[in-house]
Amino acid sequence: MFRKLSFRSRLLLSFWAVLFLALLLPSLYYRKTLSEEINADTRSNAIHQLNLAYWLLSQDQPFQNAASLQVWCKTLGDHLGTRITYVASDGTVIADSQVSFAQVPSMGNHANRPEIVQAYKEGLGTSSRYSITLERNLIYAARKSDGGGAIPAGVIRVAVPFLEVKRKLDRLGRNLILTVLLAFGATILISYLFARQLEAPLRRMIRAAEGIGSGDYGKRIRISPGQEFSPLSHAINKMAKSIEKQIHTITEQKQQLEAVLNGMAEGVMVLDSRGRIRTVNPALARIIPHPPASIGRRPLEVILSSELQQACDQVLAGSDELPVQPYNLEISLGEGRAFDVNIVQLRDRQEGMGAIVVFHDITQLKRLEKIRQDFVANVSHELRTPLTSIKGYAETLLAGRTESPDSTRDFLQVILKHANQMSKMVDDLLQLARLEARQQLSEAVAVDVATALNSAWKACSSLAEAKEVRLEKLLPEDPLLVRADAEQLEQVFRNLLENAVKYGPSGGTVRVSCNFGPEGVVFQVRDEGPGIPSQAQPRIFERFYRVEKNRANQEGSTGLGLAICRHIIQNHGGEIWVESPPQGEAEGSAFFFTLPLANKE
Amino acid sequence: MEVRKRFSQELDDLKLEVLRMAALTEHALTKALRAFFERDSDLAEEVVASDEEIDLLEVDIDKRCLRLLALEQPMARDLRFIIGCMRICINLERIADQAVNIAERALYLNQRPALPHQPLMERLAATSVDMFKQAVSAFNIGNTQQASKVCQMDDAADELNLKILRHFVDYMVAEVRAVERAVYSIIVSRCLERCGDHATNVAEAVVFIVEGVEIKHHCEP
Ligand SMILES: Nc1ncnc2c1ncn2[C@@H]1O[C@H](COP(=O)(O)OP(=O)(O)OP(=O)(O)O)[C@@H](O)[C@H]1O
Ligand SMILES: [Mg+2]
Repeated sequence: MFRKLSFRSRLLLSFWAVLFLALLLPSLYYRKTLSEEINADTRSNAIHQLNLAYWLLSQDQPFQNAASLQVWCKTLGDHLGTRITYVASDGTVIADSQVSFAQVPSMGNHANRPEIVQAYKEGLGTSSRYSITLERNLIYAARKSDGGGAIPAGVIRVAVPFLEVKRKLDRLGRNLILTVLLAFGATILISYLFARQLEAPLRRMIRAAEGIGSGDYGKRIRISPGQEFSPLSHAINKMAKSIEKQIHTITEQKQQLEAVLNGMAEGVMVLDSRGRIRTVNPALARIIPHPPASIGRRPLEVILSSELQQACDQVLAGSDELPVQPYNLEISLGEGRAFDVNIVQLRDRQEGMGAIVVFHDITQLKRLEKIRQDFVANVSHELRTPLTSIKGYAETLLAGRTESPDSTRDFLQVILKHANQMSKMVDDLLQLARLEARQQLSEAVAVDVATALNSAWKACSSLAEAKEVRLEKLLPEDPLLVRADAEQLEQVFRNLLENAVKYGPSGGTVRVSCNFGPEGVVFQVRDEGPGIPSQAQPRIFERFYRVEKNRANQEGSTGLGLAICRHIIQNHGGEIWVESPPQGEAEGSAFFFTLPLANKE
Repeated sequence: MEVRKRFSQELDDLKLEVLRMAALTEHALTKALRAFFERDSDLAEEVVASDEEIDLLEVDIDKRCLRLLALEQPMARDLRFIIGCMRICINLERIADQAVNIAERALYLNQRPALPHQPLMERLAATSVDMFKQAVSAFNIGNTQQASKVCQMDDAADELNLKILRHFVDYMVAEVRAVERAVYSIIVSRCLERCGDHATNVAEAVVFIVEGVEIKHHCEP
């Protein structure tokens, strides 16, 4: 109970207790003993005076009448300073020193006064009482007297007033209570002031401690309210310092971790024990197509893949005793993006098992792998087809089963054709390899586009004539000069025109036009052919890639043409791309490439 | 309190199951489309095989919803959520069926010579898949604006479907040999259009859940 009180009231209570013990108790005790002493003193004094009065009475006897007794009483009373009364045995007052003789008969019967009753019983009686007659506290002492002469037997009584001290003492008692009350009031003030003096630094100390508690770890307590508090402030300061140090370490570690997470190319997702996302790194936000607020959600709500959710559930289901092996799976999201996902358990003592999910983007890797696989398969396939023919015809010839020299010649012709095809392919491959190795162009000069285009068209004229395809040149009148290798520029045109004729419809038109953009000239080769499916469009520039392998009209093609074009254009610092269908058309395809203009000096 | 908490956990699990079903359906649809456009019969077989899982999931979700309705007697938004989930599930299952249809057509078409490249069909496929994804995302984050957008996209899908039909009719007139393949392609186009319709239904269910209003058969709430 006491502990619950404020420091100030505790101080006050203790002050009061001390005051009570030090002031009130002794004074009350002294007052009591002193007044007892005074009582005893006054009483013995009264008895002395009674004895004296009795002796004098017996000496001065006999009195003739009551009046002389009255005179005697008065004289003695005046001398002694006391009241002397003579009461007859029937209780009537015969003489009284303080009452005039005439009034004596009117005084009341004194037979039942305690001192008189006691005096008859024991010879001597005392009593202390407030006298109405004299209006003060008196001590009465009475003694039996035999009387004599005109005086009947009765009791002589002496009344002595209490000492003046006694009255003062009583007044002091009243004052004492007042003093104590005043002292109590004063202690309230003192304890308030004292407590306030203690409170101000204490409050500052509390404020400092609170500041530390709410994160201002640099705060220190400089002043302490008293010596007793200095260990406390030392302890708080020490605590603040160690917290500051630990926070510093933790922040540093966190920053490091954050930097690592932010810098990672892999997406990272941290799950808590309930399978909800606790944090994600910026790389993951890039993976999610339209990132909703992902914190607090489950993986499936953020990445729509049921395999991922299942795997996460499985990893989270593992317990401490039965840890699940790091989980690895591959998921594919929209637009052909593939991710290698690793899920590991995260042991957290407070919140149970969590998990870390790491997303590794393997889209590019998969694409490259596919290109490589296709490349090997394609090279072997492309080489095998002509080789099989050559082998077959050569074997037939060796076996000598040919009937006529004519057919022998035909056979040799076929062999030559296939050998040519193979050699063209090998040439193309070699050129590709050269283009790849030599990233920069060595002999870039000003080349007239019209010349290059004309000789390119001538190269595929035989096929164009067979399919009755026309060329429409939409180039400016004046000679257009670009910075390029003449031979390579012609090759680009040749490949594009060849494709346009080969894949376009019979009797169609191929248009070549140009535009001037910020990076130079943009050439366009457009046909009215079947177009290229959008998912194949990024791939046609890969070597050996051909759209729809079972399409019939691809005889004698290897799928290297566009790959060569791309390398040439890239080496010229330009770009090549395709639009199919071209903007504003329903079908057909348009190939674009850029080249820098030659300075016209 | 404890009961309330358990119930909201149940609703959360329900949402996750619907999303799981959506994920599987999306996977099936995109796979079927790749099977069709890239002439990959293996993928088509996978789609046909994976349909059973989606069917089972639908039954499971349906049971879940019925149990929640019976035991918890939910009110207001919770009730709408459960009913909306049931509607969404039905449509998801139908989209998965359309994916199977497309895969089956692809299985047939891949054995024949290819038809000319069909940019319109590619656009319709992209539109349908986009509608589907947006509808699911609208459900996921409870976004009615996105849901309304899906409803509006449905017109584009219908229009593309008609264009494709016209294109193939013209084509059939010119190339009699390709009639069968063209008809099959028209069926694919029709399937895609249906996917769009179901995605619209999903989006409508989202609006129903979030705002409690029916926007069936017209796009605005
Ligand atoms: N104008 C076009 N119209 C339609 N398809 C085209 C066109 N140009 C290229 N393609 C497609 O792109 C593929 C790659 O073309 P590329 O020129 O690299 O190889 P190719 O023509 O098959 O063989 P090569 O040119 O080596 O003889 C072709 O197989 C064809 O399917
Ligand atoms: Mg070519």
